[in-house]
Amino acid sequence: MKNVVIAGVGMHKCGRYPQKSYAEMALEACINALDHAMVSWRRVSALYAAHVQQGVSAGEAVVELLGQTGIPVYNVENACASGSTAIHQAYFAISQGLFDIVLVVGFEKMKKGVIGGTFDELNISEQLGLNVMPALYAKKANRHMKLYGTTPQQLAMVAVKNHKNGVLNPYAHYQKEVTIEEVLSSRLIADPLTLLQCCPTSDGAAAAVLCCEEAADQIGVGSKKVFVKGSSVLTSVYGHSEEELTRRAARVAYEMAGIEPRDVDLAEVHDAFTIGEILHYEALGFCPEGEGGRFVAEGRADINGDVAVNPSGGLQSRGHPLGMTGVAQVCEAVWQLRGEAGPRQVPNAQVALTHTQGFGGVCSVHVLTK
Amino acid sequence: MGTVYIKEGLYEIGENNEVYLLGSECSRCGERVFPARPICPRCGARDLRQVRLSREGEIYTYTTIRQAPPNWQGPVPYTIVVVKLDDSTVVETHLAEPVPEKVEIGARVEVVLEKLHDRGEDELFVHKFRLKEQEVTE
Repeated sequence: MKNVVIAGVGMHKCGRYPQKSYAEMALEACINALDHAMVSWRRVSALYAAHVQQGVSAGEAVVELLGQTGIPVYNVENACASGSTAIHQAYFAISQGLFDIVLVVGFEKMKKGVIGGTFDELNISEQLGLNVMPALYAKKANRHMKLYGTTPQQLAMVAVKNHKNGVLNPYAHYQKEVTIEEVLSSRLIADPLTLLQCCPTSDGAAAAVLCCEEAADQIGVGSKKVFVKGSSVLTSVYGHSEEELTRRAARVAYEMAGIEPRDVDLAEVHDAFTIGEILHYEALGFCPEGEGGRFVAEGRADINGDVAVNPSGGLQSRGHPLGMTGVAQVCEAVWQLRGEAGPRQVPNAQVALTHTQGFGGVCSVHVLTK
Repeated sequence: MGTVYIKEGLYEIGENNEVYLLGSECSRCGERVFPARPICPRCGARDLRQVRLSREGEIYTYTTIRQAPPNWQGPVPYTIVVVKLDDSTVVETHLAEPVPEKVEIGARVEVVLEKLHDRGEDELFVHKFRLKEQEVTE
């Protein structure tokens, strides 16, 4: 098994771009990543393209702009965990010696409004109108509030923290601070979640160049090497919660990397809805079960806290172009570990974790280190 | 104008017009699931029999959806509940009117059949849960 390095990363700023195709946005992210890695597209042996609703052969459409060199292209979809799944697949291909240098790109163009459903019209849950993304998380929030006394203010603090971090991230869709008051008084979407507790729908793209260590040395990455030490993709076990799924996926990644939760300096986690981040503090082992509300309220997830959670601004303010997110989290982790995160730099960042979870019960966790 | 259902075989009406959900029970491990299916989701056995599920249960969690997806044809807002029936089957669907100010986790409910919304010329009827009359306990 070979060591796997992330040689470079790049993004296209999230936002709304009605005039730009997904391929154009993905191209910009790819060029930025290749430039960051100082590698030519012609040296890349395979492309993994993560996207959910962009349609047929979206990866090939991006390659058409990059240059059709004839390499393998893999289109990867696992709902919101698509980008992470693509990183996971690229990681294993390189570690097994299948390819030396690969490019992973995640991208999405999105419509406004709630995401409801899987397009499987015959499905009973679909027909009952149950598959509404904010509702899935709202149900968790009501239970967490009942069991552990988590408050609406604590939920809102996740949005406040992440919007504050997003101001410092030039790639974030929304770069404006919000107050607890503003978050709680925004329109209710699915009780108790208000509009400002839901990630926005955005267009965006992110890319990462992964390679084996020998290739990284040839390219000249040198001391900027960031290693992928842990990588997992798992799905739910019947009868078990999604939080249990995150625990299992994290355990695999922690064990591969030989680390404990307390070793993590920063974590980019799936805060599609505020309650999500609170649940993830617990499931990833940053605090005991039930303590997530207090964890964020005490500032322990701040950039200068115990573990910087979503220093990029997370899905809440960066946005959540579905296929992009898992790759964008890796971009942030790499910038942080290389000391290139500017005003949102986490001090002494040595170990980073990324985490996404998708509809249908799928979760992916990565551990990256210097 | 007729009554239509999501699919055939989901429900049975009892002697006193009470509604039963029809689920599967695994012959090997006893797991009950709704709707019915050919493979036991818990142990993987293929020998499942059709059963009438418990008519009553307890609310596990809930939410009220105030913004629906574009293809939703029913009224908004609507309240959905996840219920653990007395026989341990987990079923999720709408809370029938009247919906209270505050839905309580742990509240007792029973299965009813009610209109969800129109479907073309017909009315789509589905299973919902209605709150049972009860003493409020702290």
